[in-house]
Amino acid sequence: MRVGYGPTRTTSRPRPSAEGRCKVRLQRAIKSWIGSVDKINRALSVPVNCLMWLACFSGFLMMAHITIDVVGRVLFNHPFQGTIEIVSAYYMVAISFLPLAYITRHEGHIVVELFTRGLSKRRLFRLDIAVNIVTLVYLTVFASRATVSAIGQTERGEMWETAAGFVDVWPSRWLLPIGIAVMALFVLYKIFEDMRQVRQNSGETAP
Amino acid sequence: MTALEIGFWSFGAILLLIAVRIPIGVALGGIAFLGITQLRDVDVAFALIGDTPFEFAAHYSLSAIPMFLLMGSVAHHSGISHSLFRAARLWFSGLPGGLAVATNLACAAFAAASGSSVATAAAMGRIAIPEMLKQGYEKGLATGVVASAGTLGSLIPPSILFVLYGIFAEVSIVKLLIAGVFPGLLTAAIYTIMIIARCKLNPSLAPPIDPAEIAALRPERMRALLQVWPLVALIVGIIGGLYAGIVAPTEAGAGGAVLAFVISGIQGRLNYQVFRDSLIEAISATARIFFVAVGAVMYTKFLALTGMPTFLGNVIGDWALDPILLVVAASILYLILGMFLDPLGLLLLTLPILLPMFEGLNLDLIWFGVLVVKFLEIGLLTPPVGFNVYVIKSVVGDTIPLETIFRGVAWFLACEVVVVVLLVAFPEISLYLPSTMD
Repeated sequence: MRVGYGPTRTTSRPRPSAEGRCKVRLQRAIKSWIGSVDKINRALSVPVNCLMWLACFSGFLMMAHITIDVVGRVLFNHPFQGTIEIVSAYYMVAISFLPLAYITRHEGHIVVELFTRGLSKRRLFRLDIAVNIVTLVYLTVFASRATVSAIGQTERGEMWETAAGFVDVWPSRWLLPIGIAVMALFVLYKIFEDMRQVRQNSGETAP
Repeated sequence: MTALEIGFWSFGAILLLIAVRIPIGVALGGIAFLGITQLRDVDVAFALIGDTPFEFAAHYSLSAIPMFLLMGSVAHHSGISHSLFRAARLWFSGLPGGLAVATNLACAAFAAASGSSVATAAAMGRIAIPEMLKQGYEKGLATGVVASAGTLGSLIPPSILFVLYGIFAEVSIVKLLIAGVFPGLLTAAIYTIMIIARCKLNPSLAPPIDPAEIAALRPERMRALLQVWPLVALIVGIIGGLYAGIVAPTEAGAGGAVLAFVISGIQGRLNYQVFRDSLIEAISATARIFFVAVGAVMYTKFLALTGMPTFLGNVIGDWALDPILLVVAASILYLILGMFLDPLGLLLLTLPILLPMFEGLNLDLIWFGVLVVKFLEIGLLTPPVGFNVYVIKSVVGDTIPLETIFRGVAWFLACEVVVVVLLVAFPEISLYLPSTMD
């Protein structure tokens, strides 16, 4: 005779049905997929942050470089040769394109939210998936053409003429495809992340 | 479909894409790419997207933008904005609506260190609104004054919008920046008159501060004023340097940023966090602006291929032979689009259409630049999409509804009508200072 109030145990557990086994496998697959999405996020944060730091460093250098040039010119009548070319071709390009992935990560791009404010979370995530797919296509074309352009200018050894000689410009051509490509990778990650959110918010109804 | 029809369809397509939250830069660039593919072929479109972004960004005049932004963010993070509000509060709190007047004038002064309206409103909002609410100010007035006076950030030099306008309109950026000084001061003055008049007629809007407290604070006035010297140094350095022709806008911005770092170091306010936050804020804002601008430049090239600027120039040229009519038409266009679009997108979207018309009538493009920036600033305040109002909303959180802020801003919009009429009727307000530079 059994004593106690716990659930009665059966000696042999019934085998789950084929449908049940499928469900378990699917849940495991989703779990591992969610885990890999997080891993992608962690892995991507390294290049995203590195590019941002490089851009900030360029911004600081630009400030210092221009100030030294002005002080040299105004006080000592001795400007810093090539300032305009280095500022334009290197610092400006770095500042313009390297932070794009960081901005995407912090939801910083300029968007109009007026017409989509009434949507439920789930619909908003679905819309974001579509928006990110369009953005990804645009960025892919952008990055690929920028790469073609960078290869062409590298082969040609692009240079700009300054008062004191020539400045190599071709290396900075590569900053553009690098910045755009990392942004594209982050947008791709966001598509997966939004798909996960759609799944997690599947029970939610419109407000 | 004719090229012109494709051009018209592109307007609708862009508005539709923007409405479904596609980033504005992607909408402009993507439509430009597809449009050029349709008009010419995909190779021309590939060449456009492959070369335009680099050519646009690698531009020395544009480098004024990150430098202006850096100067503003250092000034804010190192506490200059805080000292400024404190000094303004001590000097003006005796007036009717004294804290609101102080906020307005502090925004005008901070605008001399900040190139962006949104940044000015955000910086001052965090400091001034809690003070005004604590003092029992009406919520609409407390929030409306910061949202509205924040727009002075783009009018009083330095100004990012003037830099972009100058590049697109091919007019002197220095003259544009200097042209913004009087219109900015005029706006601040009219705001001040309105605030004092309203609070005098209805004292419940802004409960006066106890006279005994004001008397007790008086000895601190001079000390507070002394703490504002960094800003005075920045104003003299930047506006003075630009006006005297000693420095170019980029150099003024870079020198201003170095000065802001040095000053905050001398005052003991510079630490790693201030340094890091200032740089990240300025560089992120720059890249965000340029991403839209690259799309807008490509879209401008596409529009030129459709013949749209010439067509619209002819249409409005036939109709608006009188410059005033053209200004009215432009103001209506900006007012309507400004309700929905951000100022940068709006500026870059409309310039390719409006500039040829103004050039056709031989109107002064510096005067037009001041009007355009004024219209864009009004767009920052008009519902439903008023970015400065949204910034203030993010500062106050759930404590004040959006409608209250828009209601508070309405009084300042009425002042803007007066300012715009004065700027149109008396172009000298904008053009006097630049004319003395020749």
